[in-house]
Amino acid sequence: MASKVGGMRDGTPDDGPESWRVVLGAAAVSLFGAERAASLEGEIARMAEALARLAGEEFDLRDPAPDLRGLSGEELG
Amino acid sequence: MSERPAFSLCGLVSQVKERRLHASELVAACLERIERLEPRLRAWAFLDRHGSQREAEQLDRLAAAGTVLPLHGIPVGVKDIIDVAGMPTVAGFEPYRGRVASADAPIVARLRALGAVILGKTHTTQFAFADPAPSVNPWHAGRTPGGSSAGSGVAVAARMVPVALGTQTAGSVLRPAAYCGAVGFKPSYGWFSTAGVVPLAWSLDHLGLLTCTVEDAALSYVALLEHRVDFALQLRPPRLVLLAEFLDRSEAVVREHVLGLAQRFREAGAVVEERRLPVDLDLLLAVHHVLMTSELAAAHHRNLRRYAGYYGPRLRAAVEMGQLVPAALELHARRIRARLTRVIDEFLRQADAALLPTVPAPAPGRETTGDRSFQAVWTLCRTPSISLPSGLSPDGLPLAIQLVARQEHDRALLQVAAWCERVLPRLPEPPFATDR
Repeated sequence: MASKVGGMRDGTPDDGPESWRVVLGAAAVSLFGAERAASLEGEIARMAEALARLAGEEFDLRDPAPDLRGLSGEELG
Repeated sequence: MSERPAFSLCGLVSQVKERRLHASELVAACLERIERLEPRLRAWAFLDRHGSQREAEQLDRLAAAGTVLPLHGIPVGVKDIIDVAGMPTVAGFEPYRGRVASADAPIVARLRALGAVILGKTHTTQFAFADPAPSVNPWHAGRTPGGSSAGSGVAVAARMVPVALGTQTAGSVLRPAAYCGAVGFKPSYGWFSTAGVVPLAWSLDHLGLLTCTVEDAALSYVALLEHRVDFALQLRPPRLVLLAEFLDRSEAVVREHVLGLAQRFREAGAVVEERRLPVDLDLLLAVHHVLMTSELAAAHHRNLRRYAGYYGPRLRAAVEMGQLVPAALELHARRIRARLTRVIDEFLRQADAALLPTVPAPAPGRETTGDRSFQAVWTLCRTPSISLPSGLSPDGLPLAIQLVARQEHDRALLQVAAWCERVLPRLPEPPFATDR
């Protein structure tokens, strides 16, 4: 069933900062409550900008994987 | 060409080695200076006066018996997120007050094995994030000393110790160095184990060194990795790329200053060419922001639930924010990071180092720790970077340049920085660190 909430269509966010702001804002209300979520407005806007910027970067399915190994936990303490 | 300052690590190492200075005299002199300056500068979270004096006396006995270690009797400050056995690791977090480390972090153990004397723990912003530490900038009490390694920057700039340890997850070694007028060196990621260090974001956390000169940073680095101090820096005019987008984002006073220095470097024999990064600076900063925020949330979210009232407002907001980042986007950021790191590495091959301002403006007010964006790019790419004091602004605040080289080219970067340092003016003593 098609729906439209903020920047979302069919449950899939588009890639703009406004859509991310709506998604993050809704999650913040769910996790931390409306009052605390409101106090995170600046942080949410900044993260929405960052996620929108990232979402614009494309990879082919077979491009190199992210490095999930890193240093061992023991080494990092 | 500038001369070696009176209070340099290299000079002190030589004096101790030649038995012209005893460890106990050196430690006593540093403690006495700290006693005088600490009430106005607040660099230290914990000071082990008696323990360090005892250790220095033992080192004097060892020297009298014929053994002089590479950093024999050198007083060191350690950022208060790094464990030192027998001292508290508070990390600027009240619930941790009284938590005494039972063992040294490996880098502290190495310093002790080299003969260094740990005087105490230097103030950090809470958990090395962005809520300001109590330390005071020795150039202007109303300006930030930077963060997160604020106390280490102040202690070195005020000549309380010749070397201090810091850590950098965004810009926490280079930025306090720049604002306080010290040298800050962040070698490549993983150059030394971060075991025993309270983490902020595992894939970004680097240990770093704050010193008075590049030569001192090189000496500390070589001593830590090779247990020796007999090394020589090869100085030759370098090939530098001046990064234009950072100039675009700097205040005029910084831009003009760096352009003027680039010309001085050319006149001294360097090749300096202005270029732009092959990738979008805002993309690099977005990736850094997503990764740092996600990782610090993973590290802190349970602790925040337990101690919410004790968290600084900036760190609390970041931990909460990081819990909202979708996992798929965090992995996407990691994939972009790898791609960007390869492109930056290729770009840096064309020169000995990249040249840019360390910070876009002189130290701002104490309500902030300053702008991390010029340093965070290189933390993300895990390249070595170093900040050098390069002059004073018209209102008497330190200005600084940053040099960056390819990953694992730490020594080559130190050589370039040492050459540049010889062309730069030496800063006077900070006004709040003079004996008045």
